Amino acid sequence: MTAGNRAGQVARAATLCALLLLVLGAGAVAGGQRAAAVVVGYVRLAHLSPGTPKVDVYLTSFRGGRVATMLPGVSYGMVSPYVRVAPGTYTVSMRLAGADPNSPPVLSTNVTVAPRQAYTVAGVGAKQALALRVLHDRLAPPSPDKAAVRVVQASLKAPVVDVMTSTGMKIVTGAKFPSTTRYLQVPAQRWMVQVSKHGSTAVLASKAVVLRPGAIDTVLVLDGGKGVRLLVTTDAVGSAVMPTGGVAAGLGGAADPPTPGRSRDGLVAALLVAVAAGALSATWAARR
Amino acid sequence: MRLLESRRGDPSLPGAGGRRPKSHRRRPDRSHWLTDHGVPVAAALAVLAVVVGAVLYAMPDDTGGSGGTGGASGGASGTVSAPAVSATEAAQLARWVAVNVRAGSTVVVPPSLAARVHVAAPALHVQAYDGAPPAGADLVVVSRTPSHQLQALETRTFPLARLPGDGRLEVRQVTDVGGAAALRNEVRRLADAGAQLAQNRRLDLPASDARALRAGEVDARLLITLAALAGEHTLQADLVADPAGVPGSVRYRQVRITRVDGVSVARNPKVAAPLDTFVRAQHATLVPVESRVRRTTSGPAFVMRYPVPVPLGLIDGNEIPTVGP
Repeated sequence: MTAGNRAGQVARAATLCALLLLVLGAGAVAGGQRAAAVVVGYVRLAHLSPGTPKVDVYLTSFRGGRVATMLPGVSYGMVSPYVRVAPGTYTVSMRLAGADPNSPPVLSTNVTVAPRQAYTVAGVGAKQALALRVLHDRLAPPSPDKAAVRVVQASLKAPVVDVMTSTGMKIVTGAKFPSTTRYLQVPAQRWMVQVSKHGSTAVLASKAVVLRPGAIDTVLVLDGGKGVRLLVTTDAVGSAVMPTGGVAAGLGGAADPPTPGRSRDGLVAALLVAVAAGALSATWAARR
Repeated sequence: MRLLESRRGDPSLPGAGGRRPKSHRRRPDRSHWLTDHGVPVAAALAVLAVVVGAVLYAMPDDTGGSGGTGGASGGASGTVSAPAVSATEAAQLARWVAVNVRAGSTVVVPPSLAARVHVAAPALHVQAYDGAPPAGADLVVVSRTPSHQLQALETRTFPLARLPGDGRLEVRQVTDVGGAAALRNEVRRLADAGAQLAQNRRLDLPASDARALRAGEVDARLLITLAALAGEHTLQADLVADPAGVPGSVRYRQVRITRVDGVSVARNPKVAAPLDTFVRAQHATLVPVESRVRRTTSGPAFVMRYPVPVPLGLIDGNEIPTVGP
């Protein structure tokens, strides 16, 4: 084989390789962009069942994917950070924290996670009848200088309550266990929230609640040691993109949500395109 | 020959543009084609790749979902006549009412069931139909207040249960949105969840079963249990349709699982033991009436079967209610 023939073959091979790399790179870029655009939803766990020990909660996607996403067990009155999950429907099961991992978790409910929406899976009821129920949380920020707040009635000791502010503004009357109000937009300031039995003026519990501009809060009415107590959790602050406490964990579902691996995909794609462009340039230059 | 090859390799050389040997005229030399046109071809392919990528990006993830929803509407209305309700079933239905209907509610039932419901649920106000049930449909209305109940009887906006034919009762749901809307919502939820389950690569189902999933024809209890089991195991299964004459809004309440984690149930029945343990540990609503390895028409399989009545509201029906302003 002559030198010229060999050079021509090399040039052809290089051109073919360059074309292949270019196509692969472009495809990877498109795929990477698509994956990066996949949105997620948020789920967290709230323990609102007095007398019930910690439970670990598992989300299993109908679409498959990872076997389960665990919402870490929290104590009574506590709310876990949000975990990001791919949109879709999940079975929600629970198992006592620390239980034998081989023991079957008990299916308790299911939740359909919509893109960019947030949910609280709340354990409510007495210990003997612990049930998981779902709260749809708000992410859209309120108007400037306003705060959004809702009340979740999760007290069994006072199964029907009225909630109002110390200024006499009624937030909800006759709220039964378990229930939630819609989010109310209120001026961002310090409020004194009071709870009383429905129809009664005797205050069961009160709490100073500082609502910051742009914040979205939940006031939980819970059973306390001697009566009713109030707990305030912040759902989101100032942005509709990521709720408070959101952590990158437990990406379930068949749809691949954005992960660090996707960034590497983009880098690989860029390298492929660069190598392809270089090979083409070299081939072209050699031809000239 | 070497000179000719060199000239072919470089068209600028003398003779390259001249008369070529006969063989070259018959077979035009394409060895330079890629070299000459590599960049424009590459650019065209790159543009093509980007366009294809953009089209793929714009495509919805689940093309089967919407079609399934549309095709599912028939499932909700697919009630069929059935034999008269047995004493066992009547007792079961009465217990269902007692458990699922809020105390203080008014329940309107056919006279044959009134006594049983009253015994099973003394906290409910039980009314028997006075005379014939509302025209055109046999309904059991479960409402939260007597006024709602009376209104429902007049306007038929609260059909919560059906009495296909003159016997069997299927208590369906306690709802505030009206019966027709509740049924539509239920089928849509079943179809959406079923379409997702049909995509689950850990669950190997025949194509016809995947279509049934997307059509919302599969019992919610089966959907939930299969999704949970597929989270722990890879399963090969097929759904079993109800025989004609069985009432209910869904056709599939039974599944045969033939392989678990790649192992044939026929070859090793013990492979199904974790599945049985799992389903038996669940709340009563999700415990099948049958869960065992038995011989089927397609050979030994782990069979799970759920009973009628089919409860509604299991998919996405567990949100804490919103009250107040």
